[in-house]
Amino acid sequence: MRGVTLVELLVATLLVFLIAGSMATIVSTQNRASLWVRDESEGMETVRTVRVVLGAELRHGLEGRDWWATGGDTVTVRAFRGMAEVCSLGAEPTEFVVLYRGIRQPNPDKDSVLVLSQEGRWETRGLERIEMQEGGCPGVHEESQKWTLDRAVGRAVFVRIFERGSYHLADGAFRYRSGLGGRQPLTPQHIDDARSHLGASEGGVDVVVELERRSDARWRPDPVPDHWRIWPAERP
Amino acid sequence: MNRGFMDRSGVVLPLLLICLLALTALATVAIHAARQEIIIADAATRLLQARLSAEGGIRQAGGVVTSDRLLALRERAPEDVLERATPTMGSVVVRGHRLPADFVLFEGVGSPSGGRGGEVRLGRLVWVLDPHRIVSSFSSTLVHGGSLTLSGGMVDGGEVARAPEDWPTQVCSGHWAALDSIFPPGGMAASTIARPDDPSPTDLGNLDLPHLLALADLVAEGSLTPRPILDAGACLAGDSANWGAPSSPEGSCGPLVRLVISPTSLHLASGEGQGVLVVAGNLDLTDGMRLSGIVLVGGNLRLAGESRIDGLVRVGGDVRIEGGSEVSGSGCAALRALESPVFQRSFPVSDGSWVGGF
Repeated sequence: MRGVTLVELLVATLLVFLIAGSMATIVSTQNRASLWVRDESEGMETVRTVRVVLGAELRHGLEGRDWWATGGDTVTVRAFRGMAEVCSLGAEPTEFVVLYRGIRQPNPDKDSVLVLSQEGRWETRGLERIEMQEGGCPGVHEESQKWTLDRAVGRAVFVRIFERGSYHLADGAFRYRSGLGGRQPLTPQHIDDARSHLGASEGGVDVVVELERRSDARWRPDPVPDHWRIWPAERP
Repeated sequence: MNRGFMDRSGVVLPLLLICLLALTALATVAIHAARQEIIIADAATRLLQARLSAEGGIRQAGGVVTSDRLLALRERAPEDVLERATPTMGSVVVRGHRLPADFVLFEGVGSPSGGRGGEVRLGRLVWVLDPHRIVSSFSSTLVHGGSLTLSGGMVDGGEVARAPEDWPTQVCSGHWAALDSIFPPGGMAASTIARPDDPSPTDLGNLDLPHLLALADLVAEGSLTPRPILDAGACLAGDSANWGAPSSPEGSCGPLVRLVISPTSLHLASGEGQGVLVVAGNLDLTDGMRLSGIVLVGGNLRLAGESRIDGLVRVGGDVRIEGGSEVSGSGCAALRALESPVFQRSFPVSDGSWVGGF
């Protein structure tokens, strides 16, 4: 009978170890590379989300009226969600009929309004009630709405609707808090809170976002903090 | 039949294939993540392009679209007022929505270059000066907040829809129809005490004193003698002492109208000028000084020595007209004053004009 010698067995075992070891190394390296790509991608997405969201919310607002930076990690905002052209004033000084457009429907439970008067001044009011109206705006086929405010307002020209909210760099993520609700994460938890910052500067906002350093990745370069300023479209 | 050990197929090949499969899967995940990153980064770039296109288009519309074009818009009938496209920075269409009280909403719809990607909408609220509405906001030729003293002087308010006495009829021919619709038959009152709902004496529509100061052709203080200045028959509009020639409306300095602001008090003597004059403090006109247009005074006004104002006047304090001086109502002179190029544009709402979130 043909058989295998001890030498053959040793050589085969050695080869198996060599091949298996090489394969394990390659798989491990690939795995780390894959995790690195994923982490980098999430990190960049985190920074980009902070840039896009804060840019959209703050650039066209006014510091002190539309947003306030506090505590180095929070920006409280009037988050504008729609606008309305005033078609006519109602029977009561608190009422008017509007044509509304927005990224969502107005909600009296959480929304307030900023009303532009004929004198060119903005006034803040609470939104009490909304009723849909057919043909409330002459010459327009779109459905109009009758809005009732909590207090009378001068001759209204235009209305913006907003909810109170705040953006935070906290607990490792960029978060949004609507009204008195909880702070919901908008990004993965990659942010180093202690080194990141949100602060008012020259009518705009200085933002520093530093991603946290991963302890399990000694061979990765240290994260570089992203630092930028959101310049206001309108200087005060 | 029993197979020998060497006849059996080995495990190396399947093992190798499994490892290759795992490697391929990992590589695919990494490539997919990197590709997604590129796609998302590209989408973010396009979003920024669209947003900046919308913002840039609105800014451009504010600079190039004239007030006449905007005042011709009808409410709830938006029209495109500007279109612009660049190969690298996207395109924008700006629509004008006419709102009540001479407000206009510029709505910019920005798209990224190449047309791929979503649109971004942005708005800006502006106010447009309607000369007819400004003129009709005067309840009389001379509106004053304090006392009125006539000591050898007069205020003539009747037939305000007319030109100053020495102007040829054709100078005002373009304004008659509008003036007839603004002023009631028989003219308007010569003078009235300011009412609580009257505008601030130094406001011109929604433009307050700081805003007017920023727009002013000239800032004047102290004692001055403005007069038309010509060189070989040509009007030197660049000379700050030249405030136009109301005494010669068809001459070379006849069309020149100024927006002159005085942040303090002002004394004008023995000269002439036309346009809109806004004085935060007191205004003294003496020695035959002649003004034509709209005069807004935060403090007191005094006319002496046969001085004269043709147009419309609003004063926050006391008015004293003496020594053969006169304030003569003229809607035509007031409308001509508002033909200054500084008013032929739109003005962003000063307390926050940008509108997003729709």
